[in-house]
Amino acid sequence: MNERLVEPDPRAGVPGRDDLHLGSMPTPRLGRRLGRWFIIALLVQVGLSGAALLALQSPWRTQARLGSSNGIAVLAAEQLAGCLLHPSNPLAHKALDGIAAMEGVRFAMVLDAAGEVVLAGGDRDRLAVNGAGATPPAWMTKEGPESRVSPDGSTVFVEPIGKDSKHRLVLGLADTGAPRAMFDGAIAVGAGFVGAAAIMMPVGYLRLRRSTGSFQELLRAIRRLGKGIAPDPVALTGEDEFAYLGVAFNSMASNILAAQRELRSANSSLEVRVQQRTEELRLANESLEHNNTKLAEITSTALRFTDDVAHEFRTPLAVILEFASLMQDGLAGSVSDQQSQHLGFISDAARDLSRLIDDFLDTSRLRAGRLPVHRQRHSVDELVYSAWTVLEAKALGGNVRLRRDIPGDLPPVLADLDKARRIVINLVVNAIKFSGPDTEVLVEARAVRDGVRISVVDHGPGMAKADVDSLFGRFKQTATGLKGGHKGFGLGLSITSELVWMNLGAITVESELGRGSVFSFTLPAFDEASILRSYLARLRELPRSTRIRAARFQAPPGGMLPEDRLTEFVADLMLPRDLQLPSGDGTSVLLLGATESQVEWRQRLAAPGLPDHETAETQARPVVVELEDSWDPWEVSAELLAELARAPETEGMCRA
Amino acid sequence: MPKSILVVDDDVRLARAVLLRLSAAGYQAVHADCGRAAIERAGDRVPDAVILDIRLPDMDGFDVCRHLRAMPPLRNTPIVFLSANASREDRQRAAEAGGTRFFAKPCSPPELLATLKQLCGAECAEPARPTFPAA
Repeated sequence: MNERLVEPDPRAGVPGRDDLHLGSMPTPRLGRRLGRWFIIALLVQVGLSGAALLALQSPWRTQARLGSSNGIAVLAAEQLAGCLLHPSNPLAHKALDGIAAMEGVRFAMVLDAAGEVVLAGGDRDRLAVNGAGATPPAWMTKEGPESRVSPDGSTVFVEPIGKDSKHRLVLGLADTGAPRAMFDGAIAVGAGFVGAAAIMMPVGYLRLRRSTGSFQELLRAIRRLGKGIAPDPVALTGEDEFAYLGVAFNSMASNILAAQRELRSANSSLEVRVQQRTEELRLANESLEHNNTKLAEITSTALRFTDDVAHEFRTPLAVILEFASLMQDGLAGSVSDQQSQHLGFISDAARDLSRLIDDFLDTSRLRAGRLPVHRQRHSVDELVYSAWTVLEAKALGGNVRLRRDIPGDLPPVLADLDKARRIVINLVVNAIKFSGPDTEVLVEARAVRDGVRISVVDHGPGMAKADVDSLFGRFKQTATGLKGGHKGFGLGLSITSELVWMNLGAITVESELGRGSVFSFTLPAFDEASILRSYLARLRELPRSTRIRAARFQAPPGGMLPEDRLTEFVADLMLPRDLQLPSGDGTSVLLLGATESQVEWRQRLAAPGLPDHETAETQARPVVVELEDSWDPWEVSAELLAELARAPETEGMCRA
Repeated sequence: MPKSILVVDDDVRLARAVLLRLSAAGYQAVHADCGRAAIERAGDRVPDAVILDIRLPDMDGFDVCRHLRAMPPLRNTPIVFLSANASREDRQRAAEAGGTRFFAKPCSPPELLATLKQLCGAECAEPARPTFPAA
């Protein structure tokens, strides 16, 4: 579309759409109109011809004609009557014959006063008044107009002649009748044509001029419309084709302009709508951002509050524990055995409360997605031993024997020491709680495929299979979100399964009524393949299919090991499902699970704490592995390792 | 001469328990219930080690630690944080402020004593009486 068409000259009058209706306009019928013109012309011509004929046939015309054509004959007859008018004179007859032979004269007679023929000449047969002395017919000689017409249509002309005017010359005119009428008719028709032409031509000319003007006007209007300027309405009146054309043009221009106005209005309303939507979107975005900020504030406030509450709990707990311990140690004077035992109970309860606070704190952090993991290489022995002092005290209080069986040849594991330690403590405390007095609780570790399994074996009442299944179901549920604790297990077991999940492990329960229970959890061995497989197996428990991104970082020349920086980065930002895989050789594999987009990945890697944006960009060229609905951790880990081995920046640094 | 330990904690009950424990172990323990008092006492007599809480009424333990570290005699003195705030962030901030060790409340007395022994030498054979600041 011509763009100018939508921007007409605002000064130009725009005819309203209703000014002209093409539909109500009569359709021009050229044939009928031409016929009408022809009839008018014909009528004019016939009228003029008739008028001409009447004029030609009128008495004065006859008179005039006779006067003009027979003047000489009359003159001659006058002379004749004067001097030769005597019937005996042969010359007179010859003269009269001469007169009768003159053009237009058929016969000539001279009558005397008595009305008798004195002389006659010319076509005497017609006269029926042959010879002198005859009496001409009465119609010929009766008084009255000097010119008269005979019953057969011939005309006679009577003229008094002679000295006394008693003689009359009668001339029979030869030019009366059909030939003369035809001549007159032809003249009349010719005159009609000429007259009609004379009348119709100026009219035609005027009409043509008007039409040309209309044409010019129409042409101007079309040119304006062509240039996109609204033309003035073409003022063509009348009923000719140009008027119709003008009406049609006005209607067309009006339609075009109306369509143009509608288009403009639609355009502007569209723009307005787009603006409105953009504004709405912006507001929604703002509100979302605001809500996000608010939510983050609320979360952080809640976490701060939780921390404060935990702090307020811990301080009096510490006082209780300290004084109980002081008294038990005899620092405040000697105590009896029973007093010492009771003080032990106080300490034990206080420690339980302390652990509960830890669980509570971790639970709230986990719910807020703010529980960071610090997985590193550890030995299982170190891990179990770190919990042992606490556990021994607990076992002593519960009157339960505590034993551990940790082989020396176990592979090192990848674990968050604090969390793994808490798992062990929770499971053992739980076992002690359900164990009868004088029974044994065993903590054993065994090497399994991809890692180490640590089991806590008790000889308590055990559980029915249905209870085990239900408990196990709860563990599975907790992999995606923290639910309330199982009845009888408190918050401890619930958080325990979360902590296992964060350590890329799996928790299982075996139990038999009357024989006791075995709670086991695994930790991945500290090698890439094992860690990856454990990690992928954990990811697989997520409800949605997901994608993971993996990249290997290498220490920049002369720079810090990326591991150090990544650890900070991971601690601050990472979710439990993400994995940092330190390999100890100056490289580090980073795996981000869930549904991070490429941008988020880069943003996260470009976060403060990493070398610089450029390094993060170039080093963090991620290997992306899509996980479909059904996938096998073995296959995917092999694929991932192969991809990492193939990646140019990590070539040869990763075992496929 | 027994080793002197400055215990900075606004909870007098806990401070008393720690002082008792330290005295029993043969240390000369001095108490300060706020950051300002801690800095003053450390200026009066340079301690062999400091046990420092984080939440104090006038300033936080990190600031106290930085102040103490700014005093030349205390540049290498062991400063052990003992706090109910035990998050990773707290531990990191304590390390950045110049803390030597970090214990979370409630802590195991044997562990604390073992650490002190390791940091500032053997405990005295004779238990010393704890000294409390005038109320």
